[in-house]
Amino acid sequence: MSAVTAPLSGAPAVGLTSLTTAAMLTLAGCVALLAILIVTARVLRGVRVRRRARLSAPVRPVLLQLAAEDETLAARSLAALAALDRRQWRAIEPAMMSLLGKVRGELLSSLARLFYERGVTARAVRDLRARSIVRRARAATLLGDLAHTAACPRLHELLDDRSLDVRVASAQALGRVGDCSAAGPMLGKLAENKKLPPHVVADALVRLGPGIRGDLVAAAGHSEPLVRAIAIEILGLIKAVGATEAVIEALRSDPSDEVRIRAARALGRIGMPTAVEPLLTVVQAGELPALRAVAAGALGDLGAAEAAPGLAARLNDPAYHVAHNAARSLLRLGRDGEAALAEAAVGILGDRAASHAQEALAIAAIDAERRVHRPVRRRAEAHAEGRRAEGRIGGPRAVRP
Amino acid sequence: MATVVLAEDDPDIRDLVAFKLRQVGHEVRPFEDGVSALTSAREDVPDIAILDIMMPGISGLDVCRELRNDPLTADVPVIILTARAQESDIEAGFAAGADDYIVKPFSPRELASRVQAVLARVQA
Repeated sequence: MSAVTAPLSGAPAVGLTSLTTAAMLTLAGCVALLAILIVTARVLRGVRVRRRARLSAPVRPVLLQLAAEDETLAARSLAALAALDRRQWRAIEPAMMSLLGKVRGELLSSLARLFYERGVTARAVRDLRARSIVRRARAATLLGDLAHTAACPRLHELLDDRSLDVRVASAQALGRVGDCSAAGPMLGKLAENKKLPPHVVADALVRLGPGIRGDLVAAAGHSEPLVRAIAIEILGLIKAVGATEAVIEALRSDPSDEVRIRAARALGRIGMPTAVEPLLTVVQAGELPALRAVAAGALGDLGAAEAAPGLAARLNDPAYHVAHNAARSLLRLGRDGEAALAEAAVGILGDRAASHAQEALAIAAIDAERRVHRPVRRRAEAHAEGRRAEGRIGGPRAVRP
Repeated sequence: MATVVLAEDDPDIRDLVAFKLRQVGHEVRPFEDGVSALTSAREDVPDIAILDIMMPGISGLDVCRELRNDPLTADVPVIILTARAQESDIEAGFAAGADDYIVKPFSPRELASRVQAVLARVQA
């Protein structure tokens, strides 16, 4: 009986062992397979990169010649690139795509012409209607880099695309193309359940520049605080002097603290003297510390000496950032500001004010020390003299006429 | 002809700037990182340096500060060439001791003109 039961009682243990072994072997097999896949992918990528480099190497100097001073050379280069065979074109295309977003002027025009002649632009216009999200987004980016204005109506439509990536790419493209009519719709998207991220809209609006001032001023009265905040911020970034009153009004009476903070910052950036009084009012009154701190900084951006007494009075402010920013701003007001800091530094306004003033003056001293480094650079002149004597460079500074 | 140290980690931009400046007669020493550019500038002081800000290792602003802090290279004019276009970035560039600040996207022709202008200003 026991001879029969013994193998039976050992069967589960044997089964478990073989199951564990099988699992281990499977796992090892998967790891090995994964390793092979990774290595193969890397090898293939390396081969592809080397092949592309090999094919593009002879063409690369031709591409650079597009930027040549000599117009004949540039035109010859354009013709040579337009006539490349398909393999060479595909090898050099990534470099050209990469340059597109980084250059402007004649080189950008040459690249745009080349892309037009090779049919790349037409393909991108078609891809704006492709089913693939990646193709739509890539096409929008490319057409934006090419400043292809004919694509603007479709790019407007793509601001409502189901894919966030495509909406973002389209907004960025409209900004790069410089289509000012896109400002209103893009600001509107901020209110539509955040269809576009605020930073994307802001970046595109800044690129559009002063031409969208009217849209921004209109958006400063929008019912959605986020739209108002972005509009005010951009008015500051594009230094919309003509919108100063609208921004002052937002600082004084907007119901949103965030909008008022951005209005204070914007007034500093715009730089109009009419902003001094409203900013001083905000700094001195019992407002939110964050708003008062930004207003104190904005008064420094304005650099108006008449703000010195008001800022000096804030050096003793219990809110650290208000006092700190007031001290830093006083440094930027010239003699009046420095005199106020010097007075505060000896303790006339109290210990807290003295600490902030001393810190600001110490930073100013370090900055001054850095600045005097440059006149001290006479030793470098002596070195240059030595080099001139060696014939390495000609004249006091070798510059071709 | 002036000697230009160029620090730019983007090979396309580096080649383009080097080509453009060589075309107008300058001798260009291109580097893909700040440390190599700084080492080269200390070993053989250039007439001008063009620095990208965001590079592997140390940034262009740090290179600029290091150039300024060394009496041997303190006089080298520096142009910052970067995609960072915020007012605070530009302010930081000049605070680090830069003589000029060019924002990408940039025009190669304008860059060449700015190099000439900075060199002429230093020469004056």
